[in-house]
Amino acid sequence: MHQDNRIKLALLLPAVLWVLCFTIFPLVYGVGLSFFNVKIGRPDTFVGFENYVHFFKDDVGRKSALITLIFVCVSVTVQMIVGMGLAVLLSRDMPLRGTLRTTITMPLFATPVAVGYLFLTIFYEKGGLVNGLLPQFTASSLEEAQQMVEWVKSLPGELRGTAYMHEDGTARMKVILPWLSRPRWALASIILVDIWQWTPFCFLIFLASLQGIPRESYEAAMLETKSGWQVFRHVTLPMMQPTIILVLLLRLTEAFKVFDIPYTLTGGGPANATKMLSFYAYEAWREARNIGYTCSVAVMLFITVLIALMILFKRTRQIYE
Amino acid sequence: MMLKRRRFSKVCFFILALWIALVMVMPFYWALSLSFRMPKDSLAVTGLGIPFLHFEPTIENWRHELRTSETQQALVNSLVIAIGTAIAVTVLGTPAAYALARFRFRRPKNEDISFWFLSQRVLPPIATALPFYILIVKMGLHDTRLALIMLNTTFNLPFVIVIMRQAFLELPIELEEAALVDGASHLGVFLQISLRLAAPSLAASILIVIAFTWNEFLFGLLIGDVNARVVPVHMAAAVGTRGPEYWYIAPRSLIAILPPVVLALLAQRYIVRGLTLGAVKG
Repeated sequence: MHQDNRIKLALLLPAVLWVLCFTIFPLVYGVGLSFFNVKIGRPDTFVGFENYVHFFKDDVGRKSALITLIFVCVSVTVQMIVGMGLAVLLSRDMPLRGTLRTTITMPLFATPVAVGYLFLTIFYEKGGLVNGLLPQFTASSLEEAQQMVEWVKSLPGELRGTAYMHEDGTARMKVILPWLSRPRWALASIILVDIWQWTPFCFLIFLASLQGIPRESYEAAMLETKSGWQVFRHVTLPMMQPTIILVLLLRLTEAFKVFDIPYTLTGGGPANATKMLSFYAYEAWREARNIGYTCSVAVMLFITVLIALMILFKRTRQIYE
Repeated sequence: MMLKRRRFSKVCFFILALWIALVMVMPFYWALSLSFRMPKDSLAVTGLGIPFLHFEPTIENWRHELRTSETQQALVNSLVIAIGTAIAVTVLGTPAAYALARFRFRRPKNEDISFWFLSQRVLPPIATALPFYILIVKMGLHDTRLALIMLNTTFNLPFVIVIMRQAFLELPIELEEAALVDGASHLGVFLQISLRLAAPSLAASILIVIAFTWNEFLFGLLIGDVNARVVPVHMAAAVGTRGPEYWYIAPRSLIAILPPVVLALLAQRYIVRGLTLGAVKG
């Protein structure tokens, strides 16, 4: 530490003032606006908690809260588990290890908006990448192929199929998965894209943390048991606990903010099945210029994230100090 | 027997890793393949879509996309905003980081101030979006690059402060103390010694800030209508007005995706530290 000096304030204050002006002030202003009915060109009227009450009365709003929660829980859980698995896998000795690690990291920094539109082509139902890679079934006649289509339709999961004659005269049947056109599938698709983009995040941090575990901690455990799982369970996991909590925290706060992917991939549809809270709030502004309502939804989202943070707060501060 | 089994599992693990890596790059490959297809082929080609084998490749999409003045404008805007943000963040953030690393604050304490900066990242952008929008409109800055630079500076400032504080803490303090004894000023020591020694960390955090800024969408959408339209907003607008022209989506996505991905690869060594805001060292 240097001697106490007045210069420290000159160094620190600009950043503090900046954050006060452009984060704290808008936040407080936003909380204020959430209690008003704001119409452009007319004076604001104070409405108390009406905006908040309206949210809970609105079916779309409640649904939005529910799917946001489902989205956050499922995608963060899968990302953490797969990320951990990948980290363990790629900390082993294997050929091309560096290249494989780099490759797996690539989705992380890809522009989310571009990713959303890209997956629009990947999930495209007739001829997109995934449906294009599904197997085709050969039938003896077109009628038989059509019967197969009917059978596929009767399966659970809202599947469809097409029957057609191939160039060589044989009849074929192809299954079509409704990636973006059915509510549940659309939500699953969004979760899949999020998993694709963010698993590398968990992977990278877990890998770094794994490499930080000293060899000696394993050696003792290896004497006791030969089971790799036992070693992982009783040595690796406890040693990585702070990192796991940290990753959970960072992923949770990011996942609650999700906006770009629903905006680009599904536009919140079909039937509002993918209208996450951020997008729902944004739409209230875009469609009805309802500033007060948007702010109230945003404030509730913020409070939700804060609650999640509070639960993990103490542990997090310890990690940072 | 034992050795053979170990070897077998080694091969299995390698194949598994290879397979996962393939799944991760598949969308990139698909975008590349799609970008070289003529509109009639774009989604008519099934399977892996290997050029020459499954379709006749063309560079027309790329040419069209790069020649469009809107695309060029968006690229320039994104670049200017990213660089402007990087400069603003460095000017505001590094001195604060240095102050937190080298001087003692009593009330509030250093750790409290750092954590306060850190906690800004928790805020969902939508919570400040509309107040910010109103503020920007009142300041007469709507649809300007300056407004977007200010916004992105706000988002990235906590990140730079936390990373750079760590970087300064890891420097040996003796050099600085020696210079102070020799009569150098604190400001001189900061600019000429510490900042130089911390240059690699600074460079890496700037690269990451540029990538984050490049990818930012929500505020670009609210504030950059026409003149300050950035790459992600340009993409969304093109799809919104002309419908999803799949053959142009591919080159457009790649133009958007490549810069941040390449920057991240350049800063690879520092990414873990960056993403965990300094908590885990890569």
